[in-house]
Amino acid sequence: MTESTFDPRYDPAFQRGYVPRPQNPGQAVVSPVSPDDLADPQRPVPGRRSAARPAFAMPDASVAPPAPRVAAPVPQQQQTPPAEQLAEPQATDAAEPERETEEEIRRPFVKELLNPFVWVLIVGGALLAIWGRESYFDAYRRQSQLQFNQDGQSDTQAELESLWAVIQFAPTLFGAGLVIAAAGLVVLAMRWRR
Amino acid sequence: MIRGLRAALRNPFAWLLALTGVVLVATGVWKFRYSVALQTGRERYPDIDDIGYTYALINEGFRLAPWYVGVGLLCVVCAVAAVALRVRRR
Repeated sequence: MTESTFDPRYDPAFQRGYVPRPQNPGQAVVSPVSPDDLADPQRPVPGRRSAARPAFAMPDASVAPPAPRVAAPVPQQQQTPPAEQLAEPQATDAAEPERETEEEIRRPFVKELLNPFVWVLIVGGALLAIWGRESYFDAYRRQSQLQFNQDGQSDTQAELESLWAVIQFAPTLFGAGLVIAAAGLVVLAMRWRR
Repeated sequence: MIRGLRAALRNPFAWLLALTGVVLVATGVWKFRYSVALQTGRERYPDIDDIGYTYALINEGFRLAPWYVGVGLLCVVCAVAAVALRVRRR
């Protein structure tokens, strides 16, 4: 077999973990040689071919092909959780209630109170409830006045009908206001220190 | 002790919600009883000259009081739910 072949198995450029280095013009080309290659005498070192063996020769049968190299594990940093993670209440659940300071409790309280949408719910709901109750009372008062003083005019009759509608719908308005205000409180309670 | 219950019970908004609910329920019950007392004559009208206000007061117990009680119960239930969800998550 005189056919000269290029075997990528012995080329460093095709080895796993090969990192091409930028070559300066005046600097000699140095192939990356890993400590594994130096430690293993049977392993053909890339870029350093033996004299007995031609440069482009078939791989010697007596020489075992290089074992598939497993990528060297990247040295990871020690996986120790940061100190603040350990200090979180989830990490030490059993003893955490006693260790929380007053400041830690107050901070999310103020943070949640600064949510403007919650205030819109609470204030809007309260105003709606007050408006519904006041309109209910006003409608009853006005209706009484008209009923006791009416003279059979059509304007009076039309106003009575509208007042009756207010009396019918005002309780619903009042209830909706209460529900909306309660929803604001529910949001605050649900989002507390989540 | 249920895990996380103490921390969950320190939720001030849940307490506020529960307190609001209790106040609403109590107000609704009181208004209903007052309206019944006004209607049956056990209570005197607060302002006999303002008959419209008296009518409104009587009817408030029958038309607004259910809202007080219903929303109040809803508030209490939501407060308990907020605490319960907190306990389950921990």
